[in-house]
Parts: sequence; C-alpha cells; structure tokens
Amino acid sequence: MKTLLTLTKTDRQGKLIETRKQNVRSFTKNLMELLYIAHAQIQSAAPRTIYDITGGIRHIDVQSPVSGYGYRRLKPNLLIASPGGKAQVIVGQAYQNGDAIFTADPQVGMVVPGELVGIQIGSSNSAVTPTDYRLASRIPHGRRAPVTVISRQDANLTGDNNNQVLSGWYGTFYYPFKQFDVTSVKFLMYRSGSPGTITLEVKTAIAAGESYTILAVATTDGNTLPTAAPYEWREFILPSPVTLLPGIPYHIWCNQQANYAYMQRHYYTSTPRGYYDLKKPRFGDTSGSDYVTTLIDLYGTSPREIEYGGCDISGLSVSNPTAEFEIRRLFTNRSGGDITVRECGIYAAFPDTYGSFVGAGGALCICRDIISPDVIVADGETLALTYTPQIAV
Amino acid sequence: MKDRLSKHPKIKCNGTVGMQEPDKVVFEPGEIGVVLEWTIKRHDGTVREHCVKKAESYVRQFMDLLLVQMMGITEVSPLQIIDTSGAERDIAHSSLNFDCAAVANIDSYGIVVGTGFIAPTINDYGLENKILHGAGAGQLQYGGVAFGLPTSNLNTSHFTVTRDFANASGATIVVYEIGLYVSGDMPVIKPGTTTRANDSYRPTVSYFCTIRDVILAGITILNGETLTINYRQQCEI
Repeated sequence: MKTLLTLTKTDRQGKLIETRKQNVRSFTKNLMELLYIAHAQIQSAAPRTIYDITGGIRHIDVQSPVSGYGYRRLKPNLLIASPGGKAQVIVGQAYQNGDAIFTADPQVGMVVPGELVGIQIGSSNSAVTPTDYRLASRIPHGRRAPVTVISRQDANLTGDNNNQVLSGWYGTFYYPFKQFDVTSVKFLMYRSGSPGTITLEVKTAIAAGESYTILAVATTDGNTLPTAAPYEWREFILPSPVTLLPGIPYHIWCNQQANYAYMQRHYYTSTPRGYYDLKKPRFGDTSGSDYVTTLIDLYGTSPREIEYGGCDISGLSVSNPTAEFEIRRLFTNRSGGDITVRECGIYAAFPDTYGSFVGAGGALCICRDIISPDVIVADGETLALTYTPQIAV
Repeated sequence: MKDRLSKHPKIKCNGTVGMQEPDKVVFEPGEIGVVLEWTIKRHDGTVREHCVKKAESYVRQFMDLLLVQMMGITEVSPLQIIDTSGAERDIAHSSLNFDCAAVANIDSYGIVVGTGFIAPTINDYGLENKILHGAGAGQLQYGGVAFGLPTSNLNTSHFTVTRDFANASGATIVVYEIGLYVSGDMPVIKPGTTTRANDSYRPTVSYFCTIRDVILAGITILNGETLTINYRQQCEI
C-alpha cells in the first residue's frame, strides 16, 4: 500500500493558490502495533505497551469488558475520523453494563477533542523515525497568536484557606483547555517545620493497571518557604518545557522530603459551599475528591494556532488493479499571522483499557511526515491535507 | 604463436544458470506491504525449501475493513463487505475486525492455502480453490496461527503472522495460492428495536480475504512434510 499526500492551499475566497503532491514516507511502528493488536486479538492480560501522543506509556488491547450479552465489541483502536477543533470525539467501548446491547447507546469509552484525532500538522522538520509517537512540534487548534515570552498560560488562583499537608504525593489533576509548553509551575505553599527538598512531577494520567509516565521533575528548597500567611507562590522550574495537550488529563503534584510542607487548596464544602461553586472544573486534586481543587499557576509559551476542521474519510473507490480511499482535513489560519507547516501526521484514537473503566483513552501517532519545502499558510488562507492510501495487485 | 599462447596463464570459467533471488525484499519509502516467506520441512525437521518474496496482493477487503475501523462505522448504518463466500455482510467497527488468530484445525480464517492459480485481482474475495483442513486426499492439516511481535529498526516496522500446514494426505500436494482471511463483526439488530440480537445462533462474525497471492511455480509439499508460511506486514520510512 502506497499513500499519496496532497497539499492544497486556497485564499479567503477559495481561490487555489498552490497544490502539491508527495508520497507519504512515514507510517510508524504504532500502525503496525495497532494492526498486530487487531490481527492477534491481544487481550488485556498481556497488552501491548505503546507511547501515546502525550509521551505516556499506555496499555493497548482489543478486549472490551463484556456484559451478559457480550456480543458487542466496540473498541475502535484505529479511529481517525473526527469533527473539528474542540468538538467531541466519542470513542465507543462496550463495558460491563446490562445496556451494552443497545446500539443507540454509544457506550463511551473516552471523549477527546476532535483536534487530537485525525490529520495533524506541525512546525518541526526533525527527521522521522519508525518510533516517533507524536509530531515533534504540533500546531494546535485555535485562533490565538503565539506567546513566545514565558508568561501565565493557565491558573486557578483563588480559594479559601484550606490546606493539604504533603505527607504523600499531592497536587492538581488538570485538563488544559489549550495546548501550551509549560516551563514552570507555581503552587501556593508554606511550611511548619523543615520539609527539606520538595519535588514536583508532571506526569500523564492513566487508566487502571498502567504505570504513570513522568514527563518532568523539578525541585525546590522547602526550608525556605514562609511559615505564615500570605504564604508564597513557590515556582518549580522544569528542566525543559513539557507540551500539554488540550482535553488530556495530567497529574502535577509534589512531595516533601520530611515534615511539613503545605499546599493551599480550595475545598468546596467550605466557603463557598457545594458543587455549584465549582468555577474551574478542569482543575481537580489528585486524591480524586469531588470537593477539592488545588491552587496552581502555570507558566510557559504557546505556538500560533490554526483552526482544525473535521477529518473526513471518503468511501472506498475500487478499479482493478487498485483500491483507494481518502483522508482529508482543512486547516484555516485566522491567527493574524503566517504559519509555517513543516510536518504532518495522523493520530488515531483508542479507548480505555479493559481492567477498570475510568475513561482514560488517548491517541496514537500512526504516521509522521516531513513537508518539504515548507508550506507557509498566511492569515486567512486554508490548507487542505489529503492522504490517499492505495493498494494495487 | 604457439609460444605466445603457452606463456599466458590458462583461465577457466564454470557457470551455472538459475533464478537469482534478491538478498532482501525491497519496499519503497512510505510503503506498507507484506513479505511472504515459506519454508518446507521434511518429516525429520530438516529444511528442503525456503523462499522469501514480496507479496503482491492486498485486496479490497483490507481497505474496506481499514475504512470501517478508521471511520468508526456505526452498527446502525454498517458497511457492506463481501465475505469469503461471496456474500455481502454488514460490518461495523469492532474489536473483532481483523482477527486472524485461528486455532489449529480451523480453515475458515487465518492464513489459508489453495490450488487456484488465476492471477489475483483487486476484487478477489477469497481463494479460488481453498485446500480444506484434514488428512484426507487433497487436504492439509492446519496448525494454529501464531504471531511475531511488532518490532522496528531505523527504517522498518513490522509484525508477522505464521501458520503451519502439515501434509498427512498420503500424496503430494501442490499449493498455488496463499491468502489471509480475517474476521469482521456483523451487528445483527433485532427488528423493531435498537437492540443487538447476536447470540450463539446468530454468530457475530464473518470472514474476509485481505491478502491473496498466487505462486505460479507452485509449492510442492510431499507427504509427511510441513509447509510454514509467514506473512510479514511491514512499513518502511
């Protein structure tokens, strides 16, 4: 099977500016993994461990938890059709539920923003290898101009005076609302003794049975924290930036060397009370409590954004000796400046693991290619990428 | 003249004529393809024949099933795909699609072999004349399908599907065609409801041919010998 990549650029009026074709060179090992998992019917007891697009190691299998009916086996590990931007991709998965037999019930195994499923574009031209697990420098969905100076990217700054002692790992369970590269993290902290070195980890959130993948580690001297209000927004500077993806959960948490360091948090049964005061549901705490969110301040940079349309797949066309179909996505630049595209690829969604349903699926990169020469998409222009896989006897 | 000739060294050349196999199967960058490898072992386990070649023939059902999985085609509006019997089947996205992990004695899916030698076309939905499992005349004993795990080097990623075929028929059998049959999930909807009605009386899968190769020279398996076939699916950057 050979695949042709067609790039077409049009202006605001839809007038053709440029069209170009190149052969796709770079389906990655992850595609072979997914085909293998399907052909061999890999079960959850011995899943394949594969890097997903966050850099986390995930367990992938075909086993759907079965109900008493047991004949519905939704687990579309190769799903790449998706709506655009922030629209919801529902990744089905029949799980232990007496309703699993109803076809009108999507049996949601995971939801993920449409921008993370299907064709992707990026700005890096680093060489492709079979083990690439994401685009090297992905251009995210949106209309924002880039933020090149390190500044606040997201935050949850206000709460009551509730606190959590770091007697174990504790921090924020966090869904970014946009893609950015986090360079440092601040927590509102204080101490009552000499806690020594406090360590922060940024790590992937995971499904049951999986191991966390640590994306970055940073430390601070806890003995220099204040002991009284108003406390201190202590900064943990990461050794290198970590790309956080929208709609994907992460753990950002700390632990102390000795007693006692404290982290300020907001406790919703305190003041104000109740779920209804939950202002930022994307911030939770790592204990899994419905009532608590930690205070956090995230700094970094973010790339210029481009609007992701839906990723559609046209039906199969067959004419002996060939058969082919098309995978296509439009990218519209409304960011106010030029965007240089140097790489592209395809992300395929996968639902949760079998062991215990927690909705922690994700996406795998199955293809990555360098676009050469670069394509510059000016403000107002639209870039269409079409992959045409073709087999021939 | 005689003196001149006698002072020159004599040069001899012994030549042989035969088919030369390339030292490796060549894929173009970006290509996803299949390497077909077969080995015939005598009854004592020694190898009598070994051959590696590029398989030529993904057929349309491979693309059909890939489309079903990539689009997430729904159970309530499935795609019709022709199964190995030539019947159209409604297929929706499912974790059962592409299953070829057949156990021993099962010849309905997994790697299959046959005696047909008509050149493959893109619309082939099965082998021309599949050899059935068994020890009777014209039959081969199908082993279980095994797999080589996915792996990669600097340029190539691949995994392997393997199956043994033992000839206990009492006579020589010549294999001319090889294929891969995989499963596809058929959502049976109970009339008047949104309920799936698959049960043990209404099986949930049918089988589909995704690869068909013809070996015009044939692969001769003597009585007592075992044919091992590897389909190595790989992609190249």
